[in-house]
This record gives sequence, C-alpha cells and structure tokens, in this order.
Amino acid sequence: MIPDELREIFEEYVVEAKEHLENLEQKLLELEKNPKDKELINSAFRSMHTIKGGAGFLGLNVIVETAHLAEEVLGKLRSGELELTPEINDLLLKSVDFLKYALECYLRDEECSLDQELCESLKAISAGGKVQTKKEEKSIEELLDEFGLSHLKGRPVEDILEELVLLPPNKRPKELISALEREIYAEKAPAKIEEEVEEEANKLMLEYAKEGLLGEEALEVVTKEEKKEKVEEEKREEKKEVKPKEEKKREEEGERVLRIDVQKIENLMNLVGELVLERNRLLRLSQSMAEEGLSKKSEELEAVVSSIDRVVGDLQLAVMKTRMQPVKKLFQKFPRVARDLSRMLGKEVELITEGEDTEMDKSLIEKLEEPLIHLIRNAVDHGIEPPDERERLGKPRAGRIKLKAYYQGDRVFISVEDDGRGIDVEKVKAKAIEKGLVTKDRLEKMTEKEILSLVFSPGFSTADRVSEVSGRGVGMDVVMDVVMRFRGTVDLFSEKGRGTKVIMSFPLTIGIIKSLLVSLGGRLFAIPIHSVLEIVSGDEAQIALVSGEEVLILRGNTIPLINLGEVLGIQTQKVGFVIVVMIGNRRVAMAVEDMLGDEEVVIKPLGKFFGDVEGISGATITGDGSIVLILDPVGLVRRFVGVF
Amino acid sequence: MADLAIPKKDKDVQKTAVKIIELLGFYVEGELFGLPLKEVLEVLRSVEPVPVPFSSPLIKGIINVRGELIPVLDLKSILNLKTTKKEERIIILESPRGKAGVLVDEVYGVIRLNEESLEPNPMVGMYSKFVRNVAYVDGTLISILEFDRIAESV
Repeated sequence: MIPDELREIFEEYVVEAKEHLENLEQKLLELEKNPKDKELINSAFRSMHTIKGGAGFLGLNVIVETAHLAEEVLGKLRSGELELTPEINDLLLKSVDFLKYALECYLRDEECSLDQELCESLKAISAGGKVQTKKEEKSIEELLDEFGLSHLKGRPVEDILEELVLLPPNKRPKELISALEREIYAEKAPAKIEEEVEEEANKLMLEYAKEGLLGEEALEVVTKEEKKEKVEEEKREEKKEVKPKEEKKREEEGERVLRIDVQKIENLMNLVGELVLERNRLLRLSQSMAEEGLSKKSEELEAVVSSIDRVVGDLQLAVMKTRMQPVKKLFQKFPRVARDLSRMLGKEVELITEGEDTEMDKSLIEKLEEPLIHLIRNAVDHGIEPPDERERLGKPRAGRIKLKAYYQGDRVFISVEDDGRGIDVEKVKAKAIEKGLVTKDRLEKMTEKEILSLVFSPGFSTADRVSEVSGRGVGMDVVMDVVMRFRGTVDLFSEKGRGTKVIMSFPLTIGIIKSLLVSLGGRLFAIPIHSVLEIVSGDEAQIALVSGEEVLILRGNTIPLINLGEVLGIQTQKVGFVIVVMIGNRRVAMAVEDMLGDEEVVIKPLGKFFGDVEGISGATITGDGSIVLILDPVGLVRRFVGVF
Repeated sequence: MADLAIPKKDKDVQKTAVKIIELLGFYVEGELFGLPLKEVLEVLRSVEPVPVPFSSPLIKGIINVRGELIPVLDLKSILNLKTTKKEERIIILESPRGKAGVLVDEVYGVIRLNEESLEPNPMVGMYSKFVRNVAYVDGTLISILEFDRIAESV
C-alpha cells in the first residue's frame, strides 16, 4: 500500500504519529481533570492536526478521515462550542485507539477500513448532538409524559428540577433525573449563558443530593466538579509562573535530542562487549607477566592496562546509558488503563506515578508493559473495593494505586501498591491445594510470605482467568516470567484490608553480568552471581538424605540439593563446593566440582537454532576464546524439580 | 581441487545464456553432496563444538567464530548416516534461522554445473527430503542439499 519511495518517510511518520498519539492520550486524560485548561486542548488539537497532515501527504485516507473528525471535535472544544464530558472524552480516546490500530495496519501493509460507528459518533458530536449510545435513551419529554409531569414540557431544566424537589423523595423519578443530567452536560449553547445555567443546575443538584434525592453517582459528579474547578484555578496560577521556563526548556530539548536507529546502538553494544572481553584478557596477561617478571617494562604495561581498564569501564557505562530511557514513557500508558478499567467496573481509582525520570534499559522497558498492566488490572479488579464498600470501611472513596520507580544500589526497582482489600491468605492456601501446587503438610510449615509467593506459580490462576473469582494471581505468571528473564526479583506484601504491594527489582545493566565460574567434568559454566547466596566448601557441607533425596543442612535449615553434573548430563568426580542460590523466595543448593572465582561476562544469546533453552540463558566467550555456557538456576530447578 | 568445466557439448549453446550454478562439493561417509556456493560463508577446520544441554540431539553444540557463537549441526544424524569417518571440516552457511555450521568429512571443491544438467532426485530414501536435484560429476552422482530444509528440520 505504501510505495517504496515513500516507505522511509512513512516510517518516520509512524514514529512521530505514535508520539503524538501518546501525547494526545495523556492530554485527554489530564483534560478530564481540568476540562477548561486551554493549553491542554491546544496541545491535543495540534497533535491531532499534525497526525492528519502527515497522513494526508502519505495518502493514508483512513487516518486522515478519522483524525479530521476528531480534530473538528477538538476544535469545537477549543472554541468553547462544546464542553468536554466523559462521553466525548471516551470517544476521543477511542479515536486515538483507532488511529493507533490504523497505523499498525498500514505498517503491516494490511487493509484498513474506517470505523463507521466511530465516525458517525464524532460527526454527531461536532454537529452538537449527544453521544450516540447503543441503548437509545428516552428523551426528557417522553419521560415527563411517563411520570405524569407533562405540564413541565418545554420548560428550562432548572424549572423541571425545582419542580421535582417538591415531590416526596420516594416518588422522585430517578430515570428522569439522569436524563436531565445528561442534558446538562450535552447541551450546547453560547458559552456564557450555558455556563451560568450549568452552574445553577449544579448547585441545585448538589442541594438535592444532600437531601438524598439523587443517586450517589450524581453527587460524585457534582462535588468532583467543584473540587476540580478549585484545583484547576490553583493549578492555573501555578502554571502561569512556571510556563515560560518550561517552554524554553522544551525548545532546547528538541534540539538536543537525536534519533538513532536501535540497530546502531545494538552494534555499538556488541562491540563494547567484545572490548570488555579483550580487556579482561589483557588484564590477565599483564598480571601474569608481572608475576613472572618477564619484562622490565611490565610496570609500564600495567599502568597502561589499568588506564585502558578505566576507559573501557567508562565507555561500557556510556554506551549502556544510551540504551537507558526514563520510565515516563512506560508509565504514561497506565493512567488510561486504570481509567478505562475503573469506569468499566464502577470503581474510583486514582493512579499516582512516582519516579518517572528513573532510567532503565530499553529492552526492559518494552517488556515491562505487559506485567505492569496485569498488576494494575489486578489492583483495580481485585484490590480496590467498590466506592460504597470503601466508604463503609472508612477509606476514601477513590482507591489509590501507586506506581513507583526508584534506584537502590545497582538495581532498579518498580513497585505497584494499592490500598485495597489485600490478599486473603486462606484463599491462596485453598487454591494452592486445589491446584496441587503444594501438599497440606508442606503448607503448614510455610510462612505467610512463602504462601503469598505461591500466586506467582504458573498454573495458579489460569483456570479463573475469565471468571470473577476474587483473589489475585491473574497473569502473575506473566510477571514472574519477565522478572526471571531479566534476572530480577519480585516480592509481594499484602495485609488484609490494608492493601497489596508488589515490588520488582532488576539489574541496571542488561547485557553484562557478573557471574561465578564453576567446573563440572572439566567443563566451565557460569552462574549469575546475583542469584548466589553463599558458597559452602564440599568438605564442610552437611549432606543428608530426606525421603530419598539429597539435602544440604545449613545452620539448621534443610535446603534441597541438586547435583549440577547429573542435571547437565556430565560425569563428575566429587562435590568440591555447594553453591546456595536464591530462586524466587526459596533456596536451592547446587553441587559442583570446582569453583574458579567470579568474572564479568557478556551474555550472548544461543540463537534461533536453539530458541529458549530452559536452564541456559546464553553463553559467553572467555579471554582465551573458549565458550562458557551461562546457567539459569531458575530454569534448571524448574526443569528438574518442577514447580514448587 | 577439481574445478569442473561445463561439458563440451554444451559449449555451442552457451550463446543462448546458459545458467551456471556453483556448488561446494563435499564428502560425507563416502557420498558426494553439494550445497549452493552462495549460501556458504566459509569452511573451517573442525573444532570440538561445546555441547548445549537440553537441546536437540541434531545440534552438536556451538563454536566460536571470531567472537560469534555459531551452532554446529550434526549432518550425519540429520541425513540418517552412520558415523564411521572422522569429520575434518565445518562448513558455515547462512540460513533463515541465522548462521550455522555443518560437520563434513572432506571438502571436494567448487563445482560448476549447467543448470540444465540437473536432474530431479529419483530416489526415495533416508535423506531424499533434503535433496531436490542430483547431477553427475565425473561419473559420480552428487546430491544437492537444500540447506533451508535442513535448518528447519533441527
């Protein structure tokens, strides 16, 4: 569909359009909180306009048409002809979704057709109509007839409302009130009068609400609106002061940012990896030269090597940093997820993000989206209680989900925290037994934390994925999967009635890892050091048999022991060392023949011929050119012990 | 190594643009095989591949070629041939799944063939699914392997 000569321009357009769509989505969500913020509307309008313009040049008609209709709505919002209601926003967000989808279609060279329903709704809005909902709403006139209030026909909304107040509370028609409410939002009129009317109506509604006339929903809308207006005013004042600076900053940034093909950075990364390996070799060489006193110049050599060592280290870090991106880009996607889901479930949720400037490796950021969506979905669906229940429990009506990123040591942490009902340990227990994940005896010996961590086991929740059964675990194995793949850790804290917190941590650097070199039957293997807890010499290790299986007894604790040689199919002579590793929240001991110390290694994937080999995360090439396989303790254990 | 010329009788027809294909010929267990030269990247002296546990038995392991990890396929197992001779060379090839090496006993050399002299594989045997065409070179039958299929089979 896209001619070859335009392909390059098209690809650039896609990147740009995606950025604009992301901006749009963010601005629309903010607009929902500050519906009158002109700057937000302008920004959204500009983004939509840019998308349309580029698509026009490239002849992407579906995008042009949809963007045009959406732009028209935004234009009317800008000029004040329309007021932003949640329904209009829903529709605009839907348009953003559709545009994203259309972009993907064009990108894959697939047929792409207009979403007629969406277009019609957009047209209807710009024409001043109400949002078409699938269920035809009864008009106010009809409702008046229905409730025997036909004498009020044609009177202004506030008159009708006033009339309604006079009715005894139990006779007030709810249906009519919601219709009026819709009318108030959807009605368009010259801005000033309309605003007055609306304010008046809002005041009235608030009063009625206090009397317990209106459903809670209406109350919510009004009070929120008032609050928002206040906040908005304050914000506006703040913004006035900050704005000039901000804008200047943005302009400067625009010039400082350079788009680079990811492949180029990847190549750079590989080259630096090689360089690190060669440096290691050089270091070893100069060391042995110094030891043997081969040359008088060895001291000089040592000096050169140590400065190369430093430069290479810095270079490695610098290249690594080019792959680092702020998590902001990732976090931006979630307010939308939380909003849509909470609207769907009739819950109120406030998503707070913290530490958006924390930087992470690009590949990690890409892979984190799915697990985070699962975690947020869990929090909204299972964690946060419905508003009424929250009120009864003395909690604020709106649930709070906190998404946070931060550094600690050489690791980066991401946490998702909610103040909902927490996880019911008893339910987890029951389910774990039902699914045959643990035995009853074993369960009794487990600590609460260990029991909670069972939700990460694959198969814990798959069967309930569709049903509404409460309890977490939906998609938790997805979380675990990504955590394992990036050599991360995950912790789960939950207090009944107080909320749940999931903390993930990942190493800062993805491509290079420190690992422990061990040997088995004369072959070398690397074990990532981050999972190693401690090393026990084979002579001192207390090894016993428990129900026919070997265990390591360490300071009174029994730890399952696996013989690494046996697992890998290699003949070994002795148990020289026992390495205790941490897998999830449990310890496993691995017997090896010998240990050769630690080394920084560059992970190289095994390639497409192997695919994902469970238990082996890749290989590395050592200073002397030989290949060392990098073991993945989690996979090894999963492969031979099964899930535990 | 023998660089085979086009049979003489074809020389007259050469004006009508004869298509020449180039193969790398090699022996495996006494049989002559060929792989399209344009897929061949290089030929190495055999080194012992590092076996990868839990992977297909058809892959011998990985080797280090100038800092790159390359899987080495056990061609004899793939072709259902018994191993009696020592493999002396590794041929590195390009495939849709990336670079890979195959272990062979001995390299014959580059063979140039007139495309017209190719014959469809008449045999139904152990490895016929990897051979679409055969040809005669110096009176010996050469089976032309399709590396893509071999790569897929692993």
